[in-house]
Amino acid sequence: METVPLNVVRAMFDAVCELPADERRRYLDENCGDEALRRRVESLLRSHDSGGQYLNTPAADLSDLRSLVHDGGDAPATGARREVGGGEAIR
Amino acid sequence: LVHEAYLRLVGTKDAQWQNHAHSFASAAIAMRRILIERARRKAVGKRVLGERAETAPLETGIDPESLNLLALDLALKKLSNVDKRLTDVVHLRFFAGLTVEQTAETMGVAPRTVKRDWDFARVWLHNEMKDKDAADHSGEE
Repeated sequence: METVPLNVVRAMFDAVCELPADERRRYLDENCGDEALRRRVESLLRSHDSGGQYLNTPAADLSDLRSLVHDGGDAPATGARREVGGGEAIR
Repeated sequence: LVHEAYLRLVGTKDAQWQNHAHSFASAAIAMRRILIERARRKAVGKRVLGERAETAPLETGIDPESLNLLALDLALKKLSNVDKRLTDVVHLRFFAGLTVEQTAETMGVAPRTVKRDWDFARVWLHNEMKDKDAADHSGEE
């Protein structure tokens, strides 16, 4: 079981996540001597690169989750979030 | 009912937004609980059917959505033990459906902070859900 504190993992992850692969590797070679930390950061980077839009659709808009709430009934109309207006810029 | 409450909450005007911060947090938690309870019930129901039919191992009787939701719930519990703010952001963004700006206003932090927390939380949760090695890293504190 790994015991690297999350804030340490995150600081290293934030430093490299937007870099191209070779620069990530170089940065980690130069700045990350802790093997456990490096393994953890590299694992998170794989998720970063493959995660896509994971969780980016709100629960209420997911048809598979709506089927849980409504037990197979017709899905309710969505778009509640969009009625608020004005807050979508960073989504 | 949750959907109705949700509609009513998000239908409020911006000027009243901050007064509803607590309501959003509560709505998000309620949403999470209800979805998890439903997923659990659905998973158990399918498992019982699978047992009766004796046609397949128990695991295959649980539909993937329910399972994923239950796994997400467990991952969120783990996340809240290491960084509660990240969990709060996930609650408001994913379960309450707030935008980055709305989440920032609700939490009283900068949108940039929410954006960064949200991005990291999604990666962290995705890693917990997808990475087979994730179990080995559960000791983060």
